[in-house]
Amino acid sequence: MIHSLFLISHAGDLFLEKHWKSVISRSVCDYFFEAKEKAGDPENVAPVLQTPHHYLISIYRGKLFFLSVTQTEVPPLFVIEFLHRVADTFQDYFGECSESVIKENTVTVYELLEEMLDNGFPLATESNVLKEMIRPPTILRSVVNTLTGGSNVGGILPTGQLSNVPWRRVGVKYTNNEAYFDVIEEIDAILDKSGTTVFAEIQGVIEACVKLSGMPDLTLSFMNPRLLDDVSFHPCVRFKRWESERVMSFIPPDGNFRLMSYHVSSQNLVAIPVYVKQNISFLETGSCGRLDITIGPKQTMGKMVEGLMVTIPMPKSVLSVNLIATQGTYTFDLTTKVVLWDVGKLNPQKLPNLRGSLSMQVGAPKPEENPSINIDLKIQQLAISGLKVSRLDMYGEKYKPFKGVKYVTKAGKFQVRT
Amino acid sequence: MPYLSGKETVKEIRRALSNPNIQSDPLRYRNTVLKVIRAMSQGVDVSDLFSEMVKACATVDVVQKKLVYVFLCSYAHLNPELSLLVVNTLRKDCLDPNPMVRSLALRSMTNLRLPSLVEYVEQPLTAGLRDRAACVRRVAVLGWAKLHNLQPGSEIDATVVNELYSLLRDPDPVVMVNCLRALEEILKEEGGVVINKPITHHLLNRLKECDIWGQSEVLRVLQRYRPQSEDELFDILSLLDSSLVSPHPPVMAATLCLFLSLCSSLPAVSQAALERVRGSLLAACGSGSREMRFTALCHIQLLLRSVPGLLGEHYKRFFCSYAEPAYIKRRKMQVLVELVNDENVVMILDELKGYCTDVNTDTAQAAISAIGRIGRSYSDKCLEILTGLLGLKRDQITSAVVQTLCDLVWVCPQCSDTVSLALEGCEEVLQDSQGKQALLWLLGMYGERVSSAPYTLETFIDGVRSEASLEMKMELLTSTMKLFLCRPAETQDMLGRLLHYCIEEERDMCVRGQALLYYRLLHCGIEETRNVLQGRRSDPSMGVLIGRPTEPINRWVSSFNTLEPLKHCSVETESASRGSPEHLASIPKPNTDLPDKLDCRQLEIVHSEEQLTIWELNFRALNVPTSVQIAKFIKQ
Repeated sequence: MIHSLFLISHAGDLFLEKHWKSVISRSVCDYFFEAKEKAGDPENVAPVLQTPHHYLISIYRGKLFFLSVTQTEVPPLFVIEFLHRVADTFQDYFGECSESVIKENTVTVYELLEEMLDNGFPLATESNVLKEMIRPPTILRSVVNTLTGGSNVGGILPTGQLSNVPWRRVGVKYTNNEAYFDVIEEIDAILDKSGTTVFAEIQGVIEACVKLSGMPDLTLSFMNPRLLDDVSFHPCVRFKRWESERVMSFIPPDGNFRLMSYHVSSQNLVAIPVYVKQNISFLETGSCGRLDITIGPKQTMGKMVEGLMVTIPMPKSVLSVNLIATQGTYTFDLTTKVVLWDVGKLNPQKLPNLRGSLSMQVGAPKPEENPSINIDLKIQQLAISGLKVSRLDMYGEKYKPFKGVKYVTKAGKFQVRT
Repeated sequence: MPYLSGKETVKEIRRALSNPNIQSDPLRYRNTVLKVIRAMSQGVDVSDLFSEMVKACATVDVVQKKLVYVFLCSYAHLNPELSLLVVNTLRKDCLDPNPMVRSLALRSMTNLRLPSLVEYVEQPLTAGLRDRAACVRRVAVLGWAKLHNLQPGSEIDATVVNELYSLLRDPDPVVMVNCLRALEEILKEEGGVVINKPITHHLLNRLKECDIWGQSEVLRVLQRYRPQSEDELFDILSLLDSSLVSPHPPVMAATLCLFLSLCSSLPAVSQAALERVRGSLLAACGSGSREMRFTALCHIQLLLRSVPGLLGEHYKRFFCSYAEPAYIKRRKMQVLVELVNDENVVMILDELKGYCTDVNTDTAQAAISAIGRIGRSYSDKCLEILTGLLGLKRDQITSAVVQTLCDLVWVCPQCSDTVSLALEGCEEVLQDSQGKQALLWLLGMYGERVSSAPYTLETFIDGVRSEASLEMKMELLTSTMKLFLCRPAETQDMLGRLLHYCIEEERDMCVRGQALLYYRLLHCGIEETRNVLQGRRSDPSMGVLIGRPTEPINRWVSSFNTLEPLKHCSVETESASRGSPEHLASIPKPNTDLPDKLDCRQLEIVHSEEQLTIWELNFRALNVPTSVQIAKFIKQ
């Protein structure tokens, strides 16, 4: 199925290759480099390329291309999902998924890739199972290893692989038994010039950190489960129970994991936390322009908007900006032409404002398109969809665990057109 | 600079590997081996170190073993004799009490892929099939497939195949799925693993235990099964129902594919299945991964070919966001075109209008041609947007708009008034030959309504000597001829000059031939010329062609969940803007009264893809079938 994998940096350096069947020469990547050249921006490279003898399926993540080579027809969704799983695993193991980290941990990467696929077919992809076979590198362990010659390879067969609950190992023991759930929601929205919502959607996830001894069986219920569209669960959740009663019942994996992800897409349910009054204009003559942006709170349910950050990619013909911010600081990157305004907390009494003039290249035509404004923000203690966890019960074990739920709302792809 | 210092590195490492001091210190030895792997991953050719690495294989250190195996698997084919030495160590490892070591050894042994080693590998593999530990069985099962691939011509060992079939009932789900995969490969020539009723039911019942990769695999294999009765079919369908709404796109797609192929005779059930996956498909379109979004969009395009109304109300999901890559934007626009209906047309056009001025020219062009496509059913609104875009005076936008208008008037002749008004002044902005060509065609077609048409053509004729493109010259000839027919006084002189140039000085055969043809045609008299050049236009009574007719699902079901819908990204947009299906469909109609001889010519037009563009160009220019031209030519 997946014949080979090449890792390529965004500059076009091929720095790691792995073959699960016969060795395919690196020259196969030339087709990819050609396409990359043509696309200009690395983001614009099409994910599937056809060459005379192979298909090249690639994903672009963390400034890296994961390029897989297949010789036969394959289900594309399968391969793409798998490549993302590989990237997720690296992220999980090394904290980030970047060229330098992968080069540093070449050996672990090879070991992981060897375990994840056999003969081109996925073998072990569950992070818990992998972690028992190949322990993730930590500073302490690498120091110990270099001193003693120990290794990061697990000596025993992962027990999880044979148990009925493949995502949890047996015999977990903690002195403090605790279970934390983070409800994280991201608003993806496009607002038009006048402030009306063109498109809005909430992408939510529940990240869990469960440190419970034994084999606990948890039940998590919501106040308003009907809000959720398109839920996607960790394999541990009993789907039948969710379908019939709208409760999540599961035996949790040990440690950190993503319990579920969901969408809330019906527009009237998506509250837009801030409004933006903006005016960006370029004068036909005189090679200058004006910018005036004010941000105010809209539907914040009484919570404070924090970490407000405004990014405006300016047209290429803008040479410099001369702006005054009533709150926070702004920077203008001369090479990328991006204005970054770090506002901080949003004070409803005194609305932050950024205004001033833009100077343009002399003689350049008036930009065809007004820049769009991207907004980043954070609201603590609020899930903007209104989702609330009502209770968490534990069965199967006798101790009393410590339980906690945290809510946070962030802006995802939140943009305002001008 | 690993590429430059490659030889040095190899030498240095070889010295270190054969240094007895290092060999006696396991830690330093392992680090040296590590250096080899580092160098290998940087693209240095380290195959010279083969014999040293074979020696390094004999160790108790699992990590070092793994590293050496990585090396050996990459270079074994270069050194088959030396590889024999490794086999002994590997066979010993196959008897290790630790199942991890056993499976590693077995996997490495089969990954060496040397035909000469087959005889040594078979025995441990057979033992591996009956191993206590599931992870060894998983490896052993796939090992047989690898072994088979090494000797493709050899006979298939029936006992092994039987054993693999019996392992389909293994308690470990991964072993079961690997058995399927192995059997598929080994029995490829016989059409893959036999899918009969007991196997199907067994696989379906255990589907839930598999991981998502296994599930997709099983579902794909099951497509070959044909249920014996309707009851059985419905039993299977209800079992599959929950995977149909699986949160994992690969599983969802595989299930849908199986559903559709099982229900090929029950359109109502297929329809219901499509409705049911709608939510999951839309979720995949909003997925965080852009590659996933792209693939989902491509598959949605497939579905829309049969069920155009499926996603009409969800059109907002396909609006492009600022930072999306161009290939996704293009697909989204193609989907939007399919989703247009009376309620959302205003919103969609508004949105598309915003994309027309995108920084990325490909995206802008795609948006403009998308508006053109919508214009076939909602011409007024689209014409307003398109003519508005001409006002921007940007060369690339104007070029795309003129090309789009060209296609639009061909399908909807009622737009011609607005279009001919809008053409004034375009020639100054246009830079590329495709745009100019489209403009020329429009001028030839509607010259009598564009007051500046002769002057525009004159500038082109003056510059014909420096014109490189063949198509431009052909188009210019035809347009001038047509304009001559409706405005002879202003055009006569320049037509004379153009014909003279084309016949006497032009070096290209096609242009010369075409010019001669026109010249002789003019000799036959003005009436005759008019008959040929201004024959029937596309008949307005045919009405507006709205999109493609819906296709039956089984037309595309075989390419669902394959790479097929993702391919030919660029070609598809090309056909969408130029030779769209409507054009071909409209060819045969006006000609029904013409002689029989014509039919074969038309067939040729349709079949010889390469010639199509040129033929079609001529054809569009003349509005009469090419064979008439040719017949006339022969008569002369």
